[in-house]
Amino acid sequence: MLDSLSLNRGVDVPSVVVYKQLLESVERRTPKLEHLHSQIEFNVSKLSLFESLRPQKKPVKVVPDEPFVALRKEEMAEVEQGFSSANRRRVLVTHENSNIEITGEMLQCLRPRAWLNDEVINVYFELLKEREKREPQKFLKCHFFNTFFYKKLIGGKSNYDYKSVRRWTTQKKLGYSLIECDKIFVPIHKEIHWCLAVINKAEEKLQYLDSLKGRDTQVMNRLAKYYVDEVKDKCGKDINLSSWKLEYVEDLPEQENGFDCGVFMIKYADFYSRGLDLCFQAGTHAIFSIENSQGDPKIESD
Amino acid sequence: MGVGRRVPVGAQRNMLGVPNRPTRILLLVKDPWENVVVFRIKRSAQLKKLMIAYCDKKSAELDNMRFVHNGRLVRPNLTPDEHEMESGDVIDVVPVLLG
Repeated sequence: MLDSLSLNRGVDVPSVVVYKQLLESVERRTPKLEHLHSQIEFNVSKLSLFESLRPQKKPVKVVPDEPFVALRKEEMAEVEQGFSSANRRRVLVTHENSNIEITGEMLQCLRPRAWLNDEVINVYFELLKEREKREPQKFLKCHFFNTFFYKKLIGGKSNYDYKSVRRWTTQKKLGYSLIECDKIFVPIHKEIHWCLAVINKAEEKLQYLDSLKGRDTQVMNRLAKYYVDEVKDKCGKDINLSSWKLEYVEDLPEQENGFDCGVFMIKYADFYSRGLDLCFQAGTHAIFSIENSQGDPKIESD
Repeated sequence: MGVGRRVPVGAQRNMLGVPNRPTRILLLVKDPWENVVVFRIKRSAQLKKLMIAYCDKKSAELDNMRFVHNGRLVRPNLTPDEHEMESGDVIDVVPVLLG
């Protein structure tokens, strides 16, 4: 009864006795309150500790739609036609700058579950370069080596032969200097697997992207050496890459089957040359592999 | 000097005395294992000829081979002149890469 009274402030206390009893009951609650108070303090400090331990949340980046645009109906039809067996022997596209001729036969490697061949990758990289030339303000200044480059660089007896690729990158040949590029993409072929190495001048690092998360220090060392030699040969300057970071990109979309490494490799290059993070997932590869084949018929119509 | 028939020495010259370019050049075809096959080919002949001859010699299938000159693919129906090849240039031959 007293407890209920104490809650009601307006009630008048009839006698000293009742008042004293009331006071006692209030005082009995103080230790309990103090205990609760200290517990709150403890929990608040615990919370702030956990907050600080929690990994920093990355700011959610807005993923642009452009890289994910699906094909239109008529484009799909064009792709289907390219795949048809009637076109196997026909040259569907000739890419003038790189001398590459794509026949129906070669396009077959863009079908689901097929391995990508070097021609298709080379054309795709040429197209990325042309895209950049068309809209230089939208894309980073990049250079894309073809699939023959790395094989040639590591040819010879000493496993490193700068001379044999020296003439590949003359100003006359490229129309720009390799040194002024922000990113240089080098496709790496490992017997049956495609990886990508990037000489990233803008951020001063060498990057290696493998959709199976492999690592290869030799690739990095040779490319670093190549870049030093190239700068020396073309500008006569000695540079030192020892301050550059070697980055094996861990946070990347991985392939989940035995035939997608090529598609992943060229898509890494696509996103990096846009200056984007690798914001695609394994599931979207089906769209991409068809999208790639679309690139080729396009030149034909140009 | 005696009076005799003049025998031309060195490169043939045209009316203005400018030496003619030799019509044939030497091209070295090198595989990834550094084996070299040398071809002598007319500047105006299609490179298809060289590619087929090489594949015949090596018993390789033409479709499975890539010929690369200074980083660019060799187009079979172009000539050494159109590719700006010089005598002594190396053409790399590489098998098709898959992955």
